[in-house]
Amino acid sequence: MDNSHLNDLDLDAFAQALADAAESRGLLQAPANLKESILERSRQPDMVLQAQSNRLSRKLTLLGYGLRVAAAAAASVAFILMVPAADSGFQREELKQQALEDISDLTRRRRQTAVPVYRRIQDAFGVLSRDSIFNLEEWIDDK
Amino acid sequence: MRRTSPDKQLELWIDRYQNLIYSICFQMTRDSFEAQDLTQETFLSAYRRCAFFDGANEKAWLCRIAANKCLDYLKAAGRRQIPTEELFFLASGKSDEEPERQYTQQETKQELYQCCMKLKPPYRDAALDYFYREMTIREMAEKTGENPKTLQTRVYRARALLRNLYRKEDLLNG
Repeated sequence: MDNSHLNDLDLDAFAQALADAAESRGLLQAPANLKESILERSRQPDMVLQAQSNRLSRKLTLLGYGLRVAAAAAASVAFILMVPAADSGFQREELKQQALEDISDLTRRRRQTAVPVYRRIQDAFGVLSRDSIFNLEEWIDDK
Repeated sequence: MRRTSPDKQLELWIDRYQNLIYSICFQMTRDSFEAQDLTQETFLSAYRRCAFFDGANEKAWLCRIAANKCLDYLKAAGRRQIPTEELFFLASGKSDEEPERQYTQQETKQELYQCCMKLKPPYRDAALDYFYREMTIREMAEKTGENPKTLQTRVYRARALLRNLYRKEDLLNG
């Protein structure tokens, strides 16, 4: 019978059912000297050594996991700290100046384009420009 | 929260579950000596591996160990008296066999006594004290004044002789 398709939960459920069935049938009385026999055997050096070895193995495994996680976290923090240091203050200032020049240049070009367009509109719709709430001539003259 | 020491934990497990584990092992092997050995192996295995136990369901965990030990025993000697598929029926079946169970236990006890009486001294006394009267080695040593190691050896030898007697009777009875 192949039980490889069963996972731990399935096997636990089956074991629990086995226990429940044994209890419902009524438990046999284990020999009175069985407990002493088991405890006596558990105190023997080979048994104690095996148990301690397994406990140590478990602790070492957990320690290994902890060290790997700590190393990964430390590497991440170091990487984050290193990246901003490559961007010098001078470069940031330069970029800022360039951005301001681009904005003023754009504004200047927009003005140069907008004035001839407005004059054409003014010529074509003479009445509308007179009644317009926005007087571009005043703005141009001010500039 | 104080963690229980492994030795104390083992003792607690034995107090709580020895009858359950013994019952399961006897049900699967139908041999009281093997059931005792397998029960002992179950608890010792749990003791060795308690570091890997997550503490979720100790009853199920111990029963799994016991069932695996019994299956290994049955497989090792080619004794497929209880095919694994029937474990499902063992797990699901229930019966009202209380009076029959008590009678069977008494009969088993009587049979054990008769087999012990067939042994020669000093194995007869060791077998009666240990298997029939269920005394511990320490109690036997106090009673007889003998070395516990000597008594232990006699008990092991008596167990082997009793097993042979039981098997002969099984063959004779069919």
